[in-house]
Amino acid sequence: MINKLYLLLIILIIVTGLFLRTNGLDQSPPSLGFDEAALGYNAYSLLKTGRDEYGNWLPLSLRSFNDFKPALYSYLTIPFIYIWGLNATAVRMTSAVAGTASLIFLYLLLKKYIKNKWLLVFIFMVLSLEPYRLHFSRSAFETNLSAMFFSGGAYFLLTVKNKFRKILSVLFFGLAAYSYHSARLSAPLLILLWAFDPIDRLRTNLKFDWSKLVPLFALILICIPIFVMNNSSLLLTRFKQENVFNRFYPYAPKEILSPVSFVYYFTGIISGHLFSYISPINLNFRIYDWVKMSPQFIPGMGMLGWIEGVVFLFGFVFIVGNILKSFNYRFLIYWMIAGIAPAAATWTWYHPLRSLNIFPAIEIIVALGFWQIYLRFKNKIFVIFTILLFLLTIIFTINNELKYSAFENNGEYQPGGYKEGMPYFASISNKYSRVIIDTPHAQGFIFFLFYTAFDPATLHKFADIRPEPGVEGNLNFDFDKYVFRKVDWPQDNKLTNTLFWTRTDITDAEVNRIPGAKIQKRVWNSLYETASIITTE
Amino acid sequence: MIFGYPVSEQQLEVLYLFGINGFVSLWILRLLSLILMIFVLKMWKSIFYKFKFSNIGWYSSIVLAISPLIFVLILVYPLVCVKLLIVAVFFQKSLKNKYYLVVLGLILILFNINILGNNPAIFNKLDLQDAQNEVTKRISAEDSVLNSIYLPLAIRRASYNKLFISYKQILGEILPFFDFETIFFQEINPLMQKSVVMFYWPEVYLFVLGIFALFKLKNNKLFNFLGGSIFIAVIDYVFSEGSSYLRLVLVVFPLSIIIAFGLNHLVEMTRKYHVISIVALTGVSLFILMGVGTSFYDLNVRPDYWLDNRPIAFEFWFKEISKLNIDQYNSVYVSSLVGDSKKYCYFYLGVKCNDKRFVFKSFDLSKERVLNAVYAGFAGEFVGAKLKNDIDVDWETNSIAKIVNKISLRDTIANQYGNDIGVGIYQ
Repeated sequence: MINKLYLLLIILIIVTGLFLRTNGLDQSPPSLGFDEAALGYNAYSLLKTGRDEYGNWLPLSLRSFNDFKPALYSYLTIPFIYIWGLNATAVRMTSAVAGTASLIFLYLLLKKYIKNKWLLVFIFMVLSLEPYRLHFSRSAFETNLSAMFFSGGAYFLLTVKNKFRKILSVLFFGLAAYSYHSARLSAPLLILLWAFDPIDRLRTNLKFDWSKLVPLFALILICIPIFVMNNSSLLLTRFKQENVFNRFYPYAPKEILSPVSFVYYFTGIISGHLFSYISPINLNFRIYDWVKMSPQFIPGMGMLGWIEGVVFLFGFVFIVGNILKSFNYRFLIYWMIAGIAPAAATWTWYHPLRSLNIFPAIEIIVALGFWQIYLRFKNKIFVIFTILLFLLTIIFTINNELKYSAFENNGEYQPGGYKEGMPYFASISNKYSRVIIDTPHAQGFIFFLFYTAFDPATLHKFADIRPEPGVEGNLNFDFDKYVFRKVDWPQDNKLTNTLFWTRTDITDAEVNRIPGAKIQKRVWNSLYETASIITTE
Repeated sequence: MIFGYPVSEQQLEVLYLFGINGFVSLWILRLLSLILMIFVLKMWKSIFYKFKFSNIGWYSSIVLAISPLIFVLILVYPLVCVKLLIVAVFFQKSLKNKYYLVVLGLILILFNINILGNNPAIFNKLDLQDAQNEVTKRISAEDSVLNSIYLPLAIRRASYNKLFISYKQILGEILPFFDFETIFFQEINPLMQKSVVMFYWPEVYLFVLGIFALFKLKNNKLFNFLGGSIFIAVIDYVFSEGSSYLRLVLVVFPLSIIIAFGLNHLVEMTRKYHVISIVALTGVSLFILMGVGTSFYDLNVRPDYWLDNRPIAFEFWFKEISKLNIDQYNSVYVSSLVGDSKKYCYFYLGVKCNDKRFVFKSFDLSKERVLNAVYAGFAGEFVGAKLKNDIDVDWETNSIAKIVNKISLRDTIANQYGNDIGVGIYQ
């Protein structure tokens, strides 16, 4: 009976997780970001033509905004687009399902570390609804898909007993590498650390079992096509743009620059990048500028709940203190190191998106922290009070993600208005010989393509006129009768038979005094008026 | 030059209390602060003799002694040195009776509020008014979103109520205590926040090793002492305000013990001729030495980057005023936007400040002015404040007073009034 109740609770947590991840995917976040739109449109293009938006046949990397996104997310999105059409729900569903599937691995991993059943249920419930788990599952993030596969790979690696588990581990790590760049470094590094177990090796002189490296070679073999089928120098475009050497050189403040300070500051920056992922304030509360100005921003919360960052510290102290006692504890440290490595090599101090693979490890350390606290404070009142506070925090987190973030996340990275206005805009566009789209967004064209479900085969014909690989920033390009540029109404009102998608500061009076010009629609996003659809005869 | 850093507000308070001024008294005060700090470190070291860890006492004291924070406290914050002495005395007492820690907590709260004049933000969170405002703001924000997901009001209300939001806000006051960036990585802090180096970044590795070494030891008495001292540091942090390094000052002590254990462990490993530990100890020691050199050199080259810019402003104003023959003028206005200019005046000019021509308050020359007067203040006081702090670079050409001298401060210490300060004459 108790076992059935326990199982029922676990299933209930997963089902609730699925509901909260899939409910209202087109309402919160209220609009797609440009990366989401790109993943969706490429999936649509693959579905219709077997080619990406540039006309590349079944690519492993999507050129997209010249950032060469791993293509697996788009491939997995194809069935949802086939069923529901090209819309936000279909594009985000892959991430939502991956987020739910990752709960299964989270549970399996927790089971390895926490032996008290009811404590495990409580911890699993809390962790399954961490702010980051909800947030990253409700937007189309390749990194969320990758993190799910990475968790699976890590679970099978930790529990490896036979060849089958080894194969599963390599397979999951391989899928993680095909889903997001950072896993291409993290996965082999974790296998290497797992094989060598360097912390234990410091005190023992055991002979190394070279057969342990077989999974590593297998993973490298699996990943070879990523580099062979693409120009590998282009695959490193993102790294070239973001690496730490690029941004911080020469590291030390110019007033005190010397060879000594150069070395001191550079190693300090790299160490700081590593330790920023275990700084509790970063995990639970602090929001850096580069996080706030991106789709990974969770209003008012860090990746974990407020208390969990401090509980993490208890767990961290516990595993460091007991690091020689169990390989399971060392594995968590190896997981953290492997997961942080790709992010630490970039210029940003703390970047959750690039290091999402480590968060399951962080959560297990939080779970161990909970366990340690529970062992010291078994007092009934304390336990009831804690459960109550966590339940309320979970409700706050759900509210925050489903409702409040829809208010906060309007803007550059979630630009609204296209969803509301583009279907109408597309429906009248065939009446006009010229279409001008004025968008403040660097990649505004992708919203047009996405929300009008523009025919991919037609788009492929213009692949040659698009900005070359290596070009960064604004990648808008003109094709067919569509022009992407700023509208200068005093000049552009002279154009005839033209359809405009433009800003809202062009007044009714300015339009009405031009013969044949008409404001067809003022478009609202979820908060305010954001665009105007104007026509001239 | 760091030793030329001017008198701080805290030093001024002490000197003013005793009715003395001038640079000799300032240096006597700094010397007293140094003696106090030596006492603190000595007492701190002696605590570990009682634990029978004499090495740890030494290492911990060395870690503290080389910290730029301790140097800055001696140089600038005499009252904080007194606070540390009180803490050291009570830590010693707490070894015999843990209730001394409770008393210490209360004393620290009173000290911060009454002696240091802090107004901790936590009090605003406790009266629920801020929570009420946040609940209203959140609900109305959510309701303004068109086509949003439906959630029953009862569920929203479960967490959107004064009590829960107040709990959230109180956590918001406590959680920044757990900030590795400020504690270990101030030299390269990504937030560009105004703070002082507490520990050199290589010490973070010793900190992790120290946790491991402490666990091996399994000394409950020491654990309790460490837990107690961290708890006191949290209390002090929550019931204080101001720069993060001053609020976090007490956590430096327990962390220095953990670092000391790490160092001790590494030293013991080298005695076993463990190659990696010899390399690690050499590496960490070299990097710490580099840190000491780099940080103190930096502190010397850029005191205005690390330390409060307000004393620098007052020093500039009064040095410029002292060059003028003030008997020629009807009034001398000195800005009080960033501190009590009268007290600073007594320090720099002595009894001259009793002259009725001295006016110690903020002014706005774009609105009202006195003929034949000297004005010392921020650019915004000469040409009018700007909401976005974007005062013109050539503001002195727009000033109706003739600017005698001006400098630019590194930090914005008077928002809306610009970063330039000057002394001008209106005739």
